[in-house]
Order: sequence, then structure tokens, then C-alpha cells
Amino acid sequence: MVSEFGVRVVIILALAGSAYGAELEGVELEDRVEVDGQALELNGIALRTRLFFKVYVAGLYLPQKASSAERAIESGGAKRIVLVMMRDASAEQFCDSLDVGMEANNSEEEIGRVKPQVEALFAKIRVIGEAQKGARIVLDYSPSADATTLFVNGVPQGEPMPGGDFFRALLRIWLGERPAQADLKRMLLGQSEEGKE
Amino acid sequence: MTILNQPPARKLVSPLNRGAAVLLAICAFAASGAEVAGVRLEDKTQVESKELVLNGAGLRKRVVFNVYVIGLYLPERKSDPAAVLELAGPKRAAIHMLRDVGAEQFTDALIDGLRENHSEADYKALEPRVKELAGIFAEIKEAKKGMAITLDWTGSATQLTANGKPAGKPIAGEDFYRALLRIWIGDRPVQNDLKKSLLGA
Repeated sequence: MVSEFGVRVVIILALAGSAYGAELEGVELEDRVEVDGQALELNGIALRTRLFFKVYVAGLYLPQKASSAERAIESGGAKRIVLVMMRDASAEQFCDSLDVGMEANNSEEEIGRVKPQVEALFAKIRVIGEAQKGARIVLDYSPSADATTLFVNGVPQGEPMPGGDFFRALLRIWLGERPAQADLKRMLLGQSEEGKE
Repeated sequence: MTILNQPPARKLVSPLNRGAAVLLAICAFAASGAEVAGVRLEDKTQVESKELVLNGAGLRKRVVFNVYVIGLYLPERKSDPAAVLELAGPKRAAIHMLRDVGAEQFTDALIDGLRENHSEADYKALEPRVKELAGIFAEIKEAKKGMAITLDWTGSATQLTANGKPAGKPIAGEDFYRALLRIWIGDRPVQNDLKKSLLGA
């Protein structure tokens, strides 16, 4: 299945030569997933680096492709963020960078609305203790529950965190006005690979 | 007095009961200093033999994490940001770290704060000196939890200290020091309530 998938990706890449593929740095992401009974498409795949280190490969799934951040953040429906770790990150490091990105990309009012959910997310991450190399961290927004569920390697971590506001605030970490990494934002929005070379 | 009317982070150091604490605040504020998030700030300090008073102090908090406590010391107290920037004489921004922050992250935050409060042209004029400061942070490597960092205007240059020792060479130009202060008390401060606290509001 995996190799067949891999071959298909290579063929797609060869034919299309676009950001349509689902393999980056040896990490494979599916073209399509289902969240809350809704079919989602891989909108973009990107590598997060810090100094000279590869931190994670990120993927964004949406019901319909979006090339603008506003559409990706504000459009309705189920959504998924997936992070595949390229190195170990302690819970503190991981939470710290989420804290930085969340604050930089959300207004004080927005932060005020979602702070309990941020605290809940950090508590879940601390329970896991470490995001180990290879771990698949998934954040799914389900419209039917109006809540975000954290999965690590496919296992749901505790109670979902309520509210569409919270998922939008999370998305802004990567897609906001002051994203963690500008080329990562472009890649997640499928806006070509320039700046990656 | 206004400095005592701050949100939860600030309380008197002394474990006296409430009535006594209020009395102490009324009678002896000048000698009591302030405490923010468990960090004690002297209400007076000296830079280049000049006595400075604590203008205000507050907690830098992102979403969940407390990052540092900062106190602003001036030759005399001022509540208006323009008046603070125009005030002649030495100044000190005293930072007490509550978390480890890597040099890169510290520098990123600094640059963000400068860009937020300056036009592109003004930032360009500051950039060589921002790089000098970034170089000093890079040598410190990490602002460790518990570390005391000060940004001083000595009257003739900006001097960084780490745990009481001068770090790096002085950086020229009062425009640069004013630019640094705008990170906290400019039109687009890093944190609104922190700006108010530093201005003693």
C-alpha cells in the first residue's frame, strides 16, 4: 500500500511538477484524509527548520484547496494540521514555540477567548512529555463537535478542546501575519516552492 | 501609590496581614520596593552614580508562559511615554528572566518589537546597532531563568549587563536607546498592560 502510494506520488510529481505531492524529507502524507466524516485534501506540505535543524514536516488539510491564508483560516468545515517530528522536542520547547507563535499572530482579544484551550493543549503535551522524532502530531477540528482533538501517533489525547476560535488561533501560528516561517506559510498554502531552494 | 494598584502579579514582599500591609504601603512605600511574580525590585538604583527611581514594573507574559519581569528606572517618575523618552540623564530597563530564552528567540523578539514601533526607514538606521546588540546576545547564548539583564543608557551610550557584569561594548546614540524603550512603551508595545505598568499607571 505504502509503496504503491509512493509510486503514485512520484508519478504525480513527475507529471505535475507542482506542490501537489505528498512526500517531503522522507515523510509521506496522504493526499486525502477524512475528518468528522468529511473528505479533506492536502493543501500543502512544508518543512519547519530552526537554525540548521529540521524540526518537523507540516501538512495542512482542508475541505477545499485554499491559496490564501484568510480562506484557509476562515472557511468552514473540518480541518487538520499534521506535524511529523524530524527531531526530538521536549514538551517545554514544543509548548514554548506554540506560545510564541500564538501570541505573535493573534490579538489580545482573540488570545483572551482561547486561553483555557491553550492551557489544556499544553497540559496534554506535558503528559506526553516529549515529541519524539518520527511522532505524528495531529490537530483535527470537527465541526459537528465544534472542537479540536489532539492525536499523537493516531491516539486521541484526552478531551477535545472546544470552539472554532481555538482552531483558528492555532492555524494562525503557521498562516498568520507573522508566521513562524514565511516559506512554510507559502508551502502550506500551495503557493509554489520558491524560497525553498 | 499607583504602582501598588496593579493586577495580581504585584504584592508587597512582607508577609504581614492585610491591614498592616496597607499601612506599610501608605507609610513606607518609598522604601518598600515592589514585587512582581515573586521577583523583588528595588525602588532605587544607580547608573553612572546617578540615582534612579523605579517608574513602574510589570510581567511580560505571552499566552501561557511568564517570560520576564521588567522594571523601568528613571531619574524622576514620568507617566507619559513621550516624557520618558525625552527625559535627560541615565535610564535603566532591568529584566529578570522567568524562563530560559535562547539568544535567537530573544533577538527575534527584540527585532519584532523594534519593527512594530518604527518605520522601515527608521529601522534601517537602527539596524547596524541592532546587529551589535544581537551579537552580544549571541555571546550570552541563552537568557537563563533567574538571570538579571539590564539595558542601561549611561548618559553617553547603551550598555548591556548580565548578572551585574557589563556584556559587550557600549552602543552609541540615544536614538537607539529610545528605540529600545519603544518596544515596551511605544505606540505598539509588546504588551499593552505591561506598558501601563511601566508607566506607573
